[in-house]
Amino acid sequence: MGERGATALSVHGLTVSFRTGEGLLQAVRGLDYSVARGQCLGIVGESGSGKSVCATAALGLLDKSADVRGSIEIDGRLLSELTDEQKRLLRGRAISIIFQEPSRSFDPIYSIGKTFEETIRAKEASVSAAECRSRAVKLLGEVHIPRAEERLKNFPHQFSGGMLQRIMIALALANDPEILVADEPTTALDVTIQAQIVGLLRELQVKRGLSLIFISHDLRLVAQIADRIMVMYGGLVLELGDAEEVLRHPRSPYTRALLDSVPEWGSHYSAGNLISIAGAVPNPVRPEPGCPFAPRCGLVRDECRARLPDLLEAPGEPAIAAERAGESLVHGMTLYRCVVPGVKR
Amino acid sequence: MNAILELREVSKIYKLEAGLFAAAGRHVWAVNDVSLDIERGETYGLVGESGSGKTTLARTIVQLVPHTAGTIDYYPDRTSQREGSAERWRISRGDSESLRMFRSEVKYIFQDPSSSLDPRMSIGSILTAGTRYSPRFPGRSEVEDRVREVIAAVGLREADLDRRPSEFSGGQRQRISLARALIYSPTVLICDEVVSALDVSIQGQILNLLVELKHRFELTMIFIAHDLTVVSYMADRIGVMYGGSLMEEAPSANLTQRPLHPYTRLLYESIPTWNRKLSDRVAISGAAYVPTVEPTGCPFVGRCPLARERCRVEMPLLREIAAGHKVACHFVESDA
Repeated sequence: MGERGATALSVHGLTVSFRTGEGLLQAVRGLDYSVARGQCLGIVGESGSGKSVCATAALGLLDKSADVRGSIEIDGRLLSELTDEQKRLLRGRAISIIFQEPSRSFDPIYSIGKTFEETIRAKEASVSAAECRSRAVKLLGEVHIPRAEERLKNFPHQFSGGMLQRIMIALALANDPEILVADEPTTALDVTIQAQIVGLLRELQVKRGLSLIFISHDLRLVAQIADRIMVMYGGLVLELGDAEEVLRHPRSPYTRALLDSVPEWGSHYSAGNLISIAGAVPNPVRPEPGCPFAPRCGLVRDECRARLPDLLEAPGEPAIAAERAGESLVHGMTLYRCVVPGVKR
Repeated sequence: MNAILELREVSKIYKLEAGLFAAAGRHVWAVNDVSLDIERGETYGLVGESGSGKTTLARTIVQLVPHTAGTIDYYPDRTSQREGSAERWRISRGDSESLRMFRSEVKYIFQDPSSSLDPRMSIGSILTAGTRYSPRFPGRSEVEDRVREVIAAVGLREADLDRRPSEFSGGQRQRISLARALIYSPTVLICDEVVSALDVSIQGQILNLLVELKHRFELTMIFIAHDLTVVSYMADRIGVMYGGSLMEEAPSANLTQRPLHPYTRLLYESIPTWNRKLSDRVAISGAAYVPTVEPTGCPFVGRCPLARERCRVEMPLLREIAAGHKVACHFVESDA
């Protein structure tokens, strides 16, 4: 699909808002990010942070009522310049998505074989039934479903949640996409199964050279798979950087608070309280004029409340100019949105 | 040893209804022969995945789900429990009078506060509605004093009493659930996945609050969660459940430093931590416990790396391997 640049997906100046009964809901308020080919971008945020919307916008899957602005470029093609039919073909072939609860993503009266057939033919109408079967068996093998041939006859209710999620991944890969978006893919699953799914995604990323967008509320989980991590809050990026850098030296007070508000392995209540964040997540209908985290931030100053801080580049990092010049993006660069200097763990 | 709750060989077998498509005589073995003691004043953590029986076990304690075998004993006396002289209540659905007393002392907090609070009631009436049926109802004005005390204790304001659940965020609703339980001055609080439905940044608040309430009201706590990290933070002792059985029980520090049972180790290796790469062992799949077949051996046999023939036919007993550290496995030794 197109010439193979180093960037699989790039998003510039994305804003997404919805009209609701309460008023205009600003889900995403100006967002730039990119995913390099073969890389995994982890998006971390709580409910209402805009983490899902910024990825579903890239698939052109948002409701018609959503007001989407900014540019989304997949494989060198601007989403806004495509017809609905071209977008439909792009989904599955260039970018694909899996969701949180696998059991709800399947039609209960379609066998797995039938589901594969439908998925493959949606993009390639002329593929024969036998060819669909053999592709499905191969894909199921890739996601480690045993006895794939027999299991094509089965229906969704005959599989466990973990197996369904693996089948979902196989379906998402049926049209050989470049990018896979995994939106909270393990939240409904048990911990041991979660580890299997994350392991599988990483294996596929390496084997197929997939670009991954892994969305989750769990920073520790994202850290296991992501090369880069983007931390979102109130529809904004508060921090973006290499996974290890973000975890070891969080520059945004919010990232730091996220790490502190869940217990670390081996810690105990008797040794002291968790450093908890007071207050609640912001209401996206009435965003704060300043930093969205200001009302809950321990380091807050007057200027934080007055004006939204810019996304700054961490000192000592390569210049942001490369990105501005349209070059490939932000490898190794750390960006954070905070006016309090020297915020470091 | 000063147990407040004593569970002996507690089992819960559900009978499935025969229906148009379902055959009669089918059962679900949800909890199988679980014995454990909850010590007065401790926080006992129950950890396990979905289907492990942790919630069913906790619900048998308050008889939301009556157990089908075994005994559950409660020792109400807070101070002078001595050999032979201790008052003991045997908990069952049959004895409705002592069950009513018992339920004022042992309160259950549910996972999802938005579905466990009546949306049409004000917070004030949610808190007080049940008190009139409590055998320890002290009178209206005393209840009102108590409401003021607990609403402050959980970090809400008196003005909130006139508002309805929909006006509160998830974390605040969980505070309301806690206040509703504390009205009765309970001795035991059973917290079932109380932070799972909350945003990450809110979880810390609620965990801190639970610790604070535990000290302030001298509570014994049963803390149930699927997340081993959270349980080991909150609990003094931990019981690990799988397939309806107790697989391992140990003081929190022992369990985090040296998980012995193969299942606990699998759980441990599945925990996402940023400074440890995913273990290859988690890739091991295999057959999970099937609760609709009468269990004969170890429930973990289908997924266990140590499994041998003996495990299929003989359920291992919970053995004490080190001080306070018990493991139900034929092949785990203390130096493992």
